[in-house]
Amino acid sequence: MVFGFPDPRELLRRAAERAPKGLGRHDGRSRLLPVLQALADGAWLAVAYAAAQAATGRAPIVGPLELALLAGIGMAWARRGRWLDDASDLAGAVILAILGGALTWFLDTDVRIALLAGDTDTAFATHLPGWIGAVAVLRGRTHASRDDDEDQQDRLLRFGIPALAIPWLGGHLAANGPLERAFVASAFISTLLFAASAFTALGLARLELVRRSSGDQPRSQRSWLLLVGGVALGVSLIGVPTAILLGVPVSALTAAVVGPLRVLVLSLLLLTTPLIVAIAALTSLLGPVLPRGFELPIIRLPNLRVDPTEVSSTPTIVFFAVLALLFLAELAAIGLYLWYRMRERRRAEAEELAGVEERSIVRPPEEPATPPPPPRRPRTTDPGTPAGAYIAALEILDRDERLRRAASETPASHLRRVAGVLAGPALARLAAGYQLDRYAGRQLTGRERRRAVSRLARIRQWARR
Amino acid sequence: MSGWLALAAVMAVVGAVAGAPGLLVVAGITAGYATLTRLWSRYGARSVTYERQLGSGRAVAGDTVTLDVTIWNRKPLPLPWIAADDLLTEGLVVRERPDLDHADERQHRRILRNTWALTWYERVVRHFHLDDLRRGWYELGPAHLRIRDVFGRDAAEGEVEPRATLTVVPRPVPVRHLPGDRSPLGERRAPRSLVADPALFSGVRPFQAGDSLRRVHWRATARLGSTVSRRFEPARGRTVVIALDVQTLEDVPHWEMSYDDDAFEGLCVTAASLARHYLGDAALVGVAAASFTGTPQRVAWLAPRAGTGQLARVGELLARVGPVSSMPYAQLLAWLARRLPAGATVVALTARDPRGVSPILRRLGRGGFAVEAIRVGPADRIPGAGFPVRTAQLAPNWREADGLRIS
Repeated sequence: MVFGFPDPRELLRRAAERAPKGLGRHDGRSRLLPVLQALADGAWLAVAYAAAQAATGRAPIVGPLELALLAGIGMAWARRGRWLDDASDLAGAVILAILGGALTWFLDTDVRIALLAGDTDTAFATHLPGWIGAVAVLRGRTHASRDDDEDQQDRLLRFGIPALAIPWLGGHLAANGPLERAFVASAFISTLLFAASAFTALGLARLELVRRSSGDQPRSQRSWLLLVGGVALGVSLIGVPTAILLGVPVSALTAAVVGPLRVLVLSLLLLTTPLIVAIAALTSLLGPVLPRGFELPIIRLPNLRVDPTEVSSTPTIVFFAVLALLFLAELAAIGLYLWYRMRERRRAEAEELAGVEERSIVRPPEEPATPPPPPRRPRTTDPGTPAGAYIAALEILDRDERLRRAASETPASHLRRVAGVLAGPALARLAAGYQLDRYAGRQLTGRERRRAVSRLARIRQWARR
Repeated sequence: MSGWLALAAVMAVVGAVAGAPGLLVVAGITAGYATLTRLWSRYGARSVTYERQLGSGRAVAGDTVTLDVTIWNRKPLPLPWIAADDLLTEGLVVRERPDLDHADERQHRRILRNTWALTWYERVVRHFHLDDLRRGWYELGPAHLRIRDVFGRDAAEGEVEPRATLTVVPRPVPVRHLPGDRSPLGERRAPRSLVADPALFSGVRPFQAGDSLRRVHWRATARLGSTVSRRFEPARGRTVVIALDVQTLEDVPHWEMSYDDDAFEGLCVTAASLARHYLGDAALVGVAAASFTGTPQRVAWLAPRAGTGQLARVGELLARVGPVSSMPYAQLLAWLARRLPAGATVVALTARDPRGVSPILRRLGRGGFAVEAIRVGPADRIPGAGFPVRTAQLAPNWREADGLRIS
């Protein structure tokens, strides 16, 4: 095997082979991300829409979910895999924007009535903010590339949150009374939805970016998702008491919470319908077989009006009991399926990481507390004490460069240096007293104190000469 | 982030003045975002420990060495995303990460990239295996730590400087002579000698009756409190230096960076095997090669010594030499003549035709050195060299050979 300079084309080919192939990957996270992006876009536009409606003196008709749906349509068109030429792209986008705008505009009952009456002028003058639906489609179209997801979400959060102040302020200034309450209810829910979905989408987008650059690591992602989800939940949980404090109608909050639940329950009921129809068909088939005189009981649908005098018939009770059982069975089946999926996923992760990774929670040992330093004796500069007198003498000597004590000098080495210049033992005695006081911790007698003062006086006298 | 907090404060004030509760909500979200981000940028990098632990700092080519990477978040603040880019010298094969990216900022380095999400006080140990190690000197580190906040924004980063090194020495194999070959490699000598060389001081031993007073080590005696005598190495008559020719292609200038990888590895295995053989024969063995070993020196040089530690030193030097020559082989042999004591044996180990350096080898022979050339390759006769030329074969190849056949 002979080696030389590597061929650059070969290097490029190897790099291309190593390049992560994350763009074509379709898992739960990659499906969730565009949904959240559309929700964030729709929620922001819903706040703007509510403000615009308040400015026109009308309550908002369209909510964040409708606008998110339109943004999602725009995104789907931008990320399509067919008709990729520019003309098709532009034509399709324009058509979708017009359709989206018209649909949102058409949602207003007054518009429909005016159109039916042939009064197009009134129709066009009504519910003009509805054309924000067209903006939603166009906004969704900006998410054409998955590579830009992280940048887009970063920009949306960076500028989108402060920019929400503008429609909020505009809506408050434009409306009052019941109209203001309607505006607040709609804009508040949209704001919370925007914050939660935008934060989560940003986290997911960055996670996807990281995954593409460093490989897939499911355990890391799960913790990340939990944290991001926790933040989103935190925003929502803080939002509820905040809304109550701010006077947002409770109905708006309950609508936000109950709405998705209602959709879930209706979906389950719709799923149950084929079963009920099948049971009904089976029962009708049993009719001719049954002996004469045996008739199936008549089931009455429940009356939503509460009437205490009305007593439910046994067949009705049995019917709804069966319905409830079916409903519970469906819930249990869904739960079982989710549990099974989760268990399989955990098993796969455990197999993947078997022998590769060990995790443990280890509290670092407590650092041994360093004993506090002994309290320092207050340093006196009182020239009436031996130490103070020595310091005062040093200050006097500082005026002469030859006699100045260097910072690195001990009192003894300083004395040796200046012994030839200074006459008499005054400084040496002062230094001895200083060292006894400061370093040895000795309490000097009153006589020594008086001597120190007189030695200082002698040094002063010498210095004056 | 302080800008965000200021903006949030402004919005809160405007909201309070205008009686717009929505503005307070927006201000709260803005402030929450700024605070959360600041939390990780300020405290994220604190009390994070990153360590790497090699199963062994030395290995033989072909071995597998474990590498444990440990990250420990020693604080209550969880880290949603922490990445460590650890630089590894090119050539290491990580079993769990077959494809490692190239490092942009350092040549011949690859990045072992790990990412984790750590809860409070969580410690994670990842076990890697460095498989099928090739001869060489490898460095692991430094590691670059990056921490991101819960929104994925870069919050903090730092460098973990301590590095680890791994020396992979060539695998020595037993040297086998062909049947009928009675001429041993190099010059045979008695393993022990009655005569000690006073220039080779090797330590002290307790004084024994009969020791000359001139041999007493007085300073050591004073220090130890008992009389000790100097001890010397026996006078040796055999010094062998393996002069390794790192060039493996014929008719190629020494500065050209082309080489035959298999031939070069075969040379290293042969050199290690010969060194072990000579050391087992109680010779002083040294190695010289015209190759850079991570220092500015142009010659990789290991002075001849005996003892068990020398084999490890030979292996370490052979681990560091590369196939790119720093000077012509003939120049290395001339350089050796100035270094070696008279009478030393020079073993010219090459994968090329040794007749290319026959003038300098003959001159060495005339200068009092014992010269022997060993060519690693096919056992062809090489007539007209003017000195003994042997051939060494690693069959079937240098990776799987179980012996070095000298003919």
